[in-house]
Amino acid sequence: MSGQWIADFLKVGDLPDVAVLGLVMALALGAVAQMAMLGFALNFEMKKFFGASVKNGMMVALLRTVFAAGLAAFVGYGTLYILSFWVSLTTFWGVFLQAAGAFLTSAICYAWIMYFGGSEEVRSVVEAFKRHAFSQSALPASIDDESRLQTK
Amino acid sequence: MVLRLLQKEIPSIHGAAFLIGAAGLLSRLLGVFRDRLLASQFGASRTLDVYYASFQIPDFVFTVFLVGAASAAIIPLFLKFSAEERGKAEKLIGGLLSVFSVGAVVIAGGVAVFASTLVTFIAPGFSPAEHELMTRMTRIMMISPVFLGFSNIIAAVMQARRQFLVFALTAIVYNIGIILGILFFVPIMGARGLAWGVVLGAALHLAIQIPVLWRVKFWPIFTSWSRIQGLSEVFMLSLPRVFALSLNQVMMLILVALGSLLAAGSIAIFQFSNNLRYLPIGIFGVSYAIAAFPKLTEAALKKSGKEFSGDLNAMVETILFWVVPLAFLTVVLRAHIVRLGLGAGYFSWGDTRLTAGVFFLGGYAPYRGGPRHSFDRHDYRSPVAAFYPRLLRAWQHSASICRFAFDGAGGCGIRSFSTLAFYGPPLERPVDRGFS
Repeated sequence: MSGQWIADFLKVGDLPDVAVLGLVMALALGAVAQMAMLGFALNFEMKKFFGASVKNGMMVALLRTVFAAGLAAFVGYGTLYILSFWVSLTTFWGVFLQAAGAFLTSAICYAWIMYFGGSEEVRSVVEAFKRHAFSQSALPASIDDESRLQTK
Repeated sequence: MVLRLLQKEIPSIHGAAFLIGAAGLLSRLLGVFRDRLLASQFGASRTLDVYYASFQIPDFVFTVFLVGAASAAIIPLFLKFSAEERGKAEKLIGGLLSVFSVGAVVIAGGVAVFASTLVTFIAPGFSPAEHELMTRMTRIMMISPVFLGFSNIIAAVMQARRQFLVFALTAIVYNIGIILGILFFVPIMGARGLAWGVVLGAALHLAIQIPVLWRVKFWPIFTSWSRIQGLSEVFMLSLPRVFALSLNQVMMLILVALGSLLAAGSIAIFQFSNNLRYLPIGIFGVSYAIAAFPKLTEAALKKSGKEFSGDLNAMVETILFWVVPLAFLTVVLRAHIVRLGLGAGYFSWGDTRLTAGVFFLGGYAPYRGGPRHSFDRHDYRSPVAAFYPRLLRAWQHSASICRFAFDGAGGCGIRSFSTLAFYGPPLERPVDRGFS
């Protein structure tokens, strides 16, 4: 794979000193290899120590999360494209608005896919919100004024 | 009242993770603010390259200090001793503090003496003037690992006692110290002010834990160290972790050495993007890993594979839930994130674009914090073994990629046979030339 191709892909091919990309590529490739090795080591050690391996659910969770996150990122990219017609990148607030818009649409899309995909994390947040947000019991019965009493 | 709050025990993983995550978020945001200040004052310049290169020796020494201060080794023994006999755990911590204080003075002093020679190996591409500045900054920064080492021992006790609040605050005050250095020391002392800011941050890192230490009464014990049970066990448990982390430091040394041979600002850009990359990792990954560690330890001590696996799965799934979408968003919003975080003052649009590119590539590098699980079971070798492929690959790839990138950019460096021999052999199939 050509270094120039990577630089062009990242839209920095026209800059004079981009060799630093090589440093971070080295780091990323090494980290991927290490993660794989650690995964195998963990499974091996657990079998040896406990006589049982890690539950298989982890890989399913990973694939489901990657799928949802990929779709959400695609939606975010679309949002950026649409926003760029109205919001310029020449000011701090322009950059902020574009980023915030893309982040929000991506987050909503991700949460929606994960919720219908049966994610426990999203469901527990939704349940907690339903249970507490509109309930009278969400408010404390009394205010803990211990600190106020002690300062007197 | 404040002391009572700092000492509050947090029994649940989620509660502790939330607290550490919230503190981590604040600390990371302060870190972005710190980097923004650095970027706006210096840009992606050689001065910042020197600053980041000066961190290498203190960081390496701090890693060596972890032989007696690795929380991953202290926590399991501390929990075990606390359950066995009253006063036994206190004796262990007291012994560790005394051994560390003697070792720290000797090692830090020795490194400070030889700093001028060491910097020429760490940053071969710097000019003599830059080496001079780096030597001065390294000598100043050598104070910080001593503070951080003490702080780490105390932090291990706090974690084992599930007093996560004070532990969570340490990273915040560390960054505040560095920020104060940028704002108040740099105008007076120039670049050396950055180094004094690091020392101030490390001092605050330790100082915030002193009141709680006072309360729990863990003090250095200057007695015959052979009479203190568990000291040798801590060292034995720490050694593989220290070795693994040292390899990581060696890898960073290689990358920084190569960075010093690249254009001015390359090390700074690499470091900025690395810091941004750690923003979500530090908030979600590390907080869950730290909070779950005592629980995993307990499950391992009980030899309960079901409990261990359940806790581990829950933790990994939750981390994935947060980190994976953030990784994808990093790709989409890389330029926006870098511009919002660092785009001020002397940090140009070109610097922003290049940092965004580096940030994109680094976003795929998973966090390296895995080996802790081995210490629950007093396993000494696995963390080291797991590290070899990363080091070897980083070594090979960095040498090869940079060599060809250099050639493409006009051949400014690693050409001699001896240098290539030091930085490692090329890949089996060379990467095509040129990033420029």
